Amino acid sequence: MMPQQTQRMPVTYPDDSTQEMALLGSSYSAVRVASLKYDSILEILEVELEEVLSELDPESVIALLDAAPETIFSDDEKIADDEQIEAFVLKVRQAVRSILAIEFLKQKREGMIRTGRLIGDAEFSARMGTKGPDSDLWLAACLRKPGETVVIRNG
Amino acid sequence: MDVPWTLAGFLLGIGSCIVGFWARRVTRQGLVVRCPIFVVLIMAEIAAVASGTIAWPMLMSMPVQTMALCFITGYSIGYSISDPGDGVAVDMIDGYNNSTAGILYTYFRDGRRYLMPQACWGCVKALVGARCPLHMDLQFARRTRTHKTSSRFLSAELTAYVAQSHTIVPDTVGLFKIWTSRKLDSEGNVVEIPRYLFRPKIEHHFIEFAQSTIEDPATFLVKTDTYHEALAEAAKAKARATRVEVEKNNAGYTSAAAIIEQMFALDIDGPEVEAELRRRIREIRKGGEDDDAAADAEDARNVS
Repeated sequence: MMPQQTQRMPVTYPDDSTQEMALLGSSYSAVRVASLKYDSILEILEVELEEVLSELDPESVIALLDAAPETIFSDDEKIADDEQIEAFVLKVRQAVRSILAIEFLKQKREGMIRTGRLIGDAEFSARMGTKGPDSDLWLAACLRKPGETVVIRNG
Repeated sequence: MDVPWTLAGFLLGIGSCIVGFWARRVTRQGLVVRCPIFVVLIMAEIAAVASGTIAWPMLMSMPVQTMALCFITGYSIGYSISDPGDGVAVDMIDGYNNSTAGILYTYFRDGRRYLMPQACWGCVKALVGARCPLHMDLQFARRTRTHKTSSRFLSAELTAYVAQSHTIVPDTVGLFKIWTSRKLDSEGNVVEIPRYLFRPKIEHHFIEFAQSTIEDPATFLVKTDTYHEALAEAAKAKARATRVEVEKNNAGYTSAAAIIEQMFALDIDGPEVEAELRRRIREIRKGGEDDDAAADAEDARNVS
């Protein structure tokens, strides 16, 4: 008698939106809409940052960062007597502000999605307590990319 | 009836015909029944018949009634055969792109062209001064379209200039000035304001002829540059409109980005992103490539 071989079953994963719904629960729509808004603002900031950086001389920025970073990381309006230097430092400061805003928004977006995951998990737990672990979809969504907490697509 | 009375009737008819012929150039109605003078004549005849029946039988006598009949008939004939050339046939579109060909009766006064309303009361208003200006440049209109319709008994043909737009703007005009009031405005100047007894409504008619009316059929072939230029301008305008639309849609997000950028204190928050700034500068310096781990380490050293 031939030993029975375990047969590999094809597994179909749900699409991204279904996974997001399973993981975020009732917060899905709010998280999805807010995420799109975060993406729009982030895109604008990225474009602004690219424009500012393209107008700057990279060597000069590095030199200024090495020599006098306190000039950049300051809100002091009195920078220098030379208008060109003043304009250059203001542009670098604008780039720093854009980077700060991008980082801030990315953190906020991440936090929002984590909160949505918590809401989804709590709802799943409550449902499992009353109706049992009908968790194929939820497991598929969780196990597809283990460890990934952010599943919201960009755009 | 003897011969003198018959001759008198004929003379009266001819005279009234001349009067009608002249009146057509004054009241400018397409149909005599809309002419105010004709309406007054008919009302006078009705009043005469009523008065003759009730009080004065003389008014119902054969000579008086025959005289009235001759005058009204002669007036109608004279009015109808008069053709002062004041009718301009125009094929006009309405607000729904339906085309209606009709005759506009126009006249000139003080160098301006006016439209004579085809209604008894409108005609009276125009005659006392409430005229409807007609803005229609006929000097370049040279091509017409002929409308023809026929049935077993009737047929009609109308040759009209094709118009591409007909705009009517309502307005009012003062009639019979009774006094002028004077007031001081905010700057101390005396302002004279005329006061009128009536302010009847009028209409300004703006008629733009179609391109096919003012140009030959193949004119566009020799105007290629003009059309190409127009198309290019249209494309530019569309691009500008699209850009404005995009900016309008992004305005909220752009404002949000600007507000967030101003939330930070550079001396406190700025140093936290120094490494990121160095990374982006290095990307630009290397043309977008960022695979230099040594540079990362150098940035880390610089930041620390």
